[in-house]
Amino acid sequence: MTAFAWVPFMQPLPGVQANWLWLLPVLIFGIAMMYKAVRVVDLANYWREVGSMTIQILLAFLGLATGVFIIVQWIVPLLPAG
Amino acid sequence: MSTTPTTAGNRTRTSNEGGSVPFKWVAFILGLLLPGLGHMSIGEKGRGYRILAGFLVLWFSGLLIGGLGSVRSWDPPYTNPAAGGKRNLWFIAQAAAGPIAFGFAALDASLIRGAEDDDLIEITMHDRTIGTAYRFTSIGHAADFGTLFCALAGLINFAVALDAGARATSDRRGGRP
Repeated sequence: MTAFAWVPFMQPLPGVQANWLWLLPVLIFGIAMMYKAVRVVDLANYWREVGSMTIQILLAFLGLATGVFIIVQWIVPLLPAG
Repeated sequence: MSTTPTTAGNRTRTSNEGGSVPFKWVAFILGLLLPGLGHMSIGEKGRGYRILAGFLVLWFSGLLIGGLGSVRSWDPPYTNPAAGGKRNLWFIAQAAAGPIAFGFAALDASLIRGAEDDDLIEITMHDRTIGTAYRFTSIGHAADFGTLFCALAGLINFAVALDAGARATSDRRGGRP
């Protein structure tokens, strides 16, 4: 099945298995939209707050990924075997 | 030295700290029936529309990623060894989206039940017998993320409906000066 034969909503999105990480920003953006709709003080700042929260969470993920990468790739190999 | 009263003794509790405003069950239930409707019912229409927009982004992104199978109240028999399928626990979270969740679950069930032979593929069941599965059932990350998006939409909507019930009219959240 090619992407051109894809019927939205009836069939799963093609290519997700290999590119699932790109779904993360969409997920965080949706969560931020609902969360900020409740929490924001002035609705005039809504979209700015949503964008800010989305970027903050993505940066936090990036930081965690970097930390885990450093531990796994650099620190763990330095530990004595056995 | 002046005797300033302690703030702890004279603190005026705002409505959000509980106690002073009775819980509005109607707003809570309306919020469960349709995301954002609870806030609209207490006069917070701007918030209500934004809540609905956020919900729709999550919900339809999930359906776009995993297909209709993202909202499934019962697992088909081929997904687990128990004959006849079992309850899909993710649907408990999705059900907090209200009638929308039950409607899409019914749509998914009717799609599988009404599938033509061309839409079914042969698979090996858990007991090694040959069974059939719907051709377009999502698997792997598509199934995971589709289900997760819709489950989060439902869960957050439950929290939002609680907020609608506890919020005083024309109340503002945030805490930032």
